[in-house]
Amino acid sequence: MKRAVAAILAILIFIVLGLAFAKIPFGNVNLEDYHYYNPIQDKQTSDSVPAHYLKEGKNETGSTNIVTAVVVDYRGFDTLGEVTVLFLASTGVGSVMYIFEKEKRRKVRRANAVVETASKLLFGFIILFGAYIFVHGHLTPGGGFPGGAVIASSFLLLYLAYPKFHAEHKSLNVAESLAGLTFVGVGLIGLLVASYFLYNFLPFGLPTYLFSAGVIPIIYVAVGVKVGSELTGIVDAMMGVRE
Amino acid sequence: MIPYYYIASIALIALGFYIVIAKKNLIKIIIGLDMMDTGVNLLLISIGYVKGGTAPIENGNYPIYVDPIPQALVLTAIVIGVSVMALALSIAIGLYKNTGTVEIDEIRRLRE
Amino acid sequence: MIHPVLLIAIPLFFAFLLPLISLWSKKSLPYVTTAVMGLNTIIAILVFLEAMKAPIFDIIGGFQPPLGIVLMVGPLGGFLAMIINTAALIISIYSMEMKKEPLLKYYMLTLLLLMGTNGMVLTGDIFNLFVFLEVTSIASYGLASYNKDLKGFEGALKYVILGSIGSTFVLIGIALIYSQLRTLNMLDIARRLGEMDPYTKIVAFASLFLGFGVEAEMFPLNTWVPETYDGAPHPVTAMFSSMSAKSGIFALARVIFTIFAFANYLWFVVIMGLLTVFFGEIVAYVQKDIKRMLAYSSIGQMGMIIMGLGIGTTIAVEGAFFQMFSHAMGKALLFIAAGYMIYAAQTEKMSEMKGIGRNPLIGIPLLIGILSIMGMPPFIGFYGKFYILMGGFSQGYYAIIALFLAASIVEIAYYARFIKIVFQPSTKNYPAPRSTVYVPLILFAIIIVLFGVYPQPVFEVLKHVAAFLAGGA
Repeated sequence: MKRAVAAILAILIFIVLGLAFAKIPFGNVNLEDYHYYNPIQDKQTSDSVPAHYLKEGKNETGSTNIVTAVVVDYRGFDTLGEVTVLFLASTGVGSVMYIFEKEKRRKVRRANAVVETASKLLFGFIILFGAYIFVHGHLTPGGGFPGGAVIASSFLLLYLAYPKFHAEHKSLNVAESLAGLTFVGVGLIGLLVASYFLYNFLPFGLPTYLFSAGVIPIIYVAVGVKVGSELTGIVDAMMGVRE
Repeated sequence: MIPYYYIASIALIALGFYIVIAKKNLIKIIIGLDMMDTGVNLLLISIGYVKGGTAPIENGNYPIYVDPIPQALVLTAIVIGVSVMALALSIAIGLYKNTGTVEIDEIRRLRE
Repeated sequence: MIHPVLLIAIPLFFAFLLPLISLWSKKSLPYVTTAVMGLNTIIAILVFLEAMKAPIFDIIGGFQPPLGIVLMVGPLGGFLAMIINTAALIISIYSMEMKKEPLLKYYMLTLLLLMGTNGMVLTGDIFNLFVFLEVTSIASYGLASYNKDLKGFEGALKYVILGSIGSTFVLIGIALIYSQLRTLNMLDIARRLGEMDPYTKIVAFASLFLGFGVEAEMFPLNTWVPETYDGAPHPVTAMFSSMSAKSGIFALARVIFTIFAFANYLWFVVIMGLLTVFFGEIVAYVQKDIKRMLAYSSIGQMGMIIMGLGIGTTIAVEGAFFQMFSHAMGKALLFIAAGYMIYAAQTEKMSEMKGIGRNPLIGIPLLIGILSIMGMPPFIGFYGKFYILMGGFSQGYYAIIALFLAASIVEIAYYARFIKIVFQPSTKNYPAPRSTVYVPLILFAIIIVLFGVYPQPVFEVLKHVAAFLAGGA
């Protein structure tokens, strides 16, 4: 009975959405065709939003990676929300798993020597790679989120190789807090300097150079550290490994 | 041209929805939620596709780029999806530790 | 010039700061949280006073909309932000009752819940609205499972499942709109809505409506409400009904009026609202547990607000906004009182709570709250219901008005039964309430009586409803 209802609802969703998307061309779009309306100045412009980003993004933000320009600068507020969501997840998981902290750990077999040695060896390189990804977020594909995830994966490797390993909670929390405060602090400085929250107040420098694009690298480093420590925290809480 | 991408992603959404409603196992339900998420992300990405376009990283070699906004939105949506999954899984772990099962019917029976 | 973005940035900043503060002193956490909420309330009042003069557009990142994100605060948004922040401040006093660890996480989650609800009310960008919806709902999931018992986990799980389905639908709606208009700013979308294919437009509207309906406790997406409210800690329940539900309903109002000025499909909203009212009030009547009864009654009240929005005339929408105000204050009061009563009587069964209201510190605010929720003059609950009814009459929805009145009578019946139990003489001795319980109760009661006797300031705000309906901020 429940299955039948579910199947009918799923088919209904498929048909309704399918018909709606049948009206939308796939790939056959000219981004210049859309004309946006500025509600504050109450005027119609000939530009369209994505075309404007592609044309002016490099000049307006200093970042050659337009997706980064959109994520961190044009729609930086969304990214602040996104960072908050991840922070919430790590806080929530920490709160939910709290009760089980005093539980006795199950006996876990040690990993073999190859895994232990290799993970020790790789640990530094993986962290370095993650740092590379988020430091170059404004120049190449990637950015704070993938970089942070890579860093967290290096810790995950240690968890797998050494059953007794656990990350220092206090330092994780401090890293998380400081990175978050940096992000909000950059936003508030922008508010003070130019009366726009998250305003890109630093000089852009030359495009394609590492020190360019104003506050974007700073924000992405903060995001990278934050995502890395938060994902590690989530992994740690779910493993439930405590002494 | 038939928009395979739209059809596939809508199919993913519908399948995920079916799993969430029909299945009784918590882990399966959470997998269903993840499938719905993935479907929507795929949908957003395919909306941004422009024929012949390439990744929007300016180096002067390509004349056409795809729409950068959906990519930025998907980045946000993925992280949000991950967060929801992490919390849902930890709640499932909590239920398991409380009841010793992940079957919804069993949990409901235990409560009464 | 005051920046509305501070309402979002300050709680976020302090949520990030709390772990560092806790390294230094764990005892100060509740006071810091309350102080932050007090600061936020002051800013919200300033923002509201500013927005009454002219709608505020706070540009984020220095890019003109729709290139960048903009916060759009009209008089109604400012009013709602003020209600939410005030309620959060008063509830945070009651939060000091919380003793269960991990308290650090609890206070972080409450600050982030406040940030998310503020963001949902203030933002003028549809994807940003989605992000803040997620902030609100993930904070709610964490808080709902905070008790870490079977009931809490079960409620939270239901909420997670329905909430993620809802947010998927919101994202589908955004994808549909974006694919045709290539913009995300609400006013830009509203302006160019004519370029959309009519069928796609309806599907987008339905997706957004259903998605936000989860947070706004709309039938049939509200099955999470009773279990989540039942399993959540008592202060959190008060927050859910006065903060997240209000931001959800305001997002719904934004979707209906600001984005899609849909005059033709409003009957659909009215019917959804009416179903919600009926479901809530009738199920509430048969409940024996106090928190479940209040949760179902909350659904009923949210249904009334949705109905008011759906009737769509100026008077009805004024009523809906007044009802949001009265429900935020009244239900928070009742949930705090319920928290004390469950603690004092050691049970959730209403039949075991005989004579608990004979202590005047509990009884008088409780009576005021119940009468206000029932819609008795001269409390604030009266105006909301009355204006929604007036709006229904002016549109000629007589059958719906009759059903609405019937549901109201059911509501009066079960609340009267509750009053009778709580105030009947009994020999039982209950522990006296601490100041963290009766201070918030009295504060809420003062607001309810004050604006009930002297509602002119609220009506002054509600004069701007006409501009809101015309698609303004």
